Amino acid sequence: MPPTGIGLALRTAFFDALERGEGDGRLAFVEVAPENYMHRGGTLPRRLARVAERFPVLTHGLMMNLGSTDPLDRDYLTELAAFLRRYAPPWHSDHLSYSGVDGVLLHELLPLPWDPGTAQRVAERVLRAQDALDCTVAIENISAYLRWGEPYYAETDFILDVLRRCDGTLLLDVNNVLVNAENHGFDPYAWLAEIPLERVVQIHVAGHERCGDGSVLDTHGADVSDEVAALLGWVIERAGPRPVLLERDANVPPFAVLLEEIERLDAVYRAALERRSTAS
Amino acid sequence: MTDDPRLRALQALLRRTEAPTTATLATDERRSTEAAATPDDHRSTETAAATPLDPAVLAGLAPAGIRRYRRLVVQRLRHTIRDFLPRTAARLGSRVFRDEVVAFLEAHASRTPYLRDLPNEFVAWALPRWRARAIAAPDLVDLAHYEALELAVLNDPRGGEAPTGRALRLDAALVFDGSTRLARYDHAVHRLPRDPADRTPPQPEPTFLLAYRDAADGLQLQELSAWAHRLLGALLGGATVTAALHEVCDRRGNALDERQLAKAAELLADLAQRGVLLGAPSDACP
Repeated sequence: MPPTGIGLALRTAFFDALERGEGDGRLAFVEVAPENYMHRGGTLPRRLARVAERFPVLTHGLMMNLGSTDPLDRDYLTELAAFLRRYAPPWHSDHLSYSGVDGVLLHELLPLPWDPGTAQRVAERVLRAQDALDCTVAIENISAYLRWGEPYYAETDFILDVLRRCDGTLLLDVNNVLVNAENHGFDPYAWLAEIPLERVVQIHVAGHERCGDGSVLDTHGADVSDEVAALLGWVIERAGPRPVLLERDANVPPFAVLLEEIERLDAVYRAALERRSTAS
Repeated sequence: MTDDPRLRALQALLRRTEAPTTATLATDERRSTEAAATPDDHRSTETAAATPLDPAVLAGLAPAGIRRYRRLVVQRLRHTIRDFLPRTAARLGSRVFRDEVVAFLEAHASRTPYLRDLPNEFVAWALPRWRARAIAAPDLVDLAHYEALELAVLNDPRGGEAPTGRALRLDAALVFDGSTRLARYDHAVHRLPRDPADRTPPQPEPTFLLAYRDAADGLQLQELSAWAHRLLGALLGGATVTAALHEVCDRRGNALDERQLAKAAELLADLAQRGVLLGAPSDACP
């Protein structure tokens, strides 16, 4: 059974604390970026193996390049498949974006045009990746700072079209929804209402920061805002128990402070489940 | 796989040195219309600035969004390279370092899905350029290569293999730990302080290094003589012990004698004790 409750994205800064047992009983799971450990020797893969003895492991990749027009990278998939066999996550996730074409990789999650041709291409690549990995591949909605002119349809329709074409599942990042809502001017709750929550297998939350020009940047460098926590509660109340991941990549506080944030999110999560229970 | 020129166009814009504005996008649009009459296949174009852009794509893109992504891309490259090559970045100076990262993005960019391999891509691209254009002094070129070497050894997927269990033989090649690398420098950059703020100049001296990852995943360095460096170079290249010894002696114009054999035996015994030399290949005759 997949874990449910609040987990933490594993970063090297947390290894010492986790290996000392400071997260035991406090984290429902850890999520790892396989690219940081696969195709690599040295100390990090060994440390991950030790942490995996304490917590369930979910995996979330950065470089499958699902939206690209390049062929899927066979070597990358072979390494990833070996990694997934070892840690046996219930699914693997990556982003609904592209990182480069023509062999170039920009190491950034670039937005895709929202049209049926792109949806078809991504869906085919999800299916091919699932075959290669022998594992379900969930896609994650991204923060996007650029729109491709007048789209064929709305972002939620694009996501739904991809999911329908590959009978896929979604990793729903509610911070990304809020960042996009702030930058592009829409109601995040209306956006969420368009998403079939039964397809949501996991949720991400993180902090964002406001720039000098008023725009919002998805930095994973601040505490989770009250608005994002409220979106999380809204989704859990309607979707039921899910694994919820806290991502923190910049301005990382001491581990004890992160655990306090985990507790805060857990309170939001439990309250949402309580409302769900009362309503039913 | 279906092509989509929009993805290529955005990528090309993000790789360009010049930040886009409404005016430059309009110029691109005009150039692209002209380029459409020329049936060149531009897919393999290395330099982003030379990539013609589809006018239909450019019309819908907001310059502010392109600039935002451009900043994100450059920042990620810059921070990653600086984190892994801190002393090189510091000694280059922030302006030159940033300019070189931007030039790398435009001329080559990354090809690896592993961010930790990006600094080695950068160094492989930058060092010939720095030498040819005197962008960095020779000692800094050595330091950049050395910092990339440390990174490569520490993260090499190979390494830690078990001994083959086969004794060394003169007529067989040898098996080394997979993380083993040789390097040659004109400066003793491996002895420099680790502090990026330090500006001690490295000692100018011919430097021959053997680098490998030990059983505790630490980096180990061994200073070699020029003779040992050449011998190990031949052995790591797959030569048999006899062939490697003859190669070293031939280059020096010496005959292979007892003294050379004794030196080689001592060197190889030491490497075997350190766990670097794993033995003869398991398919070698006993």
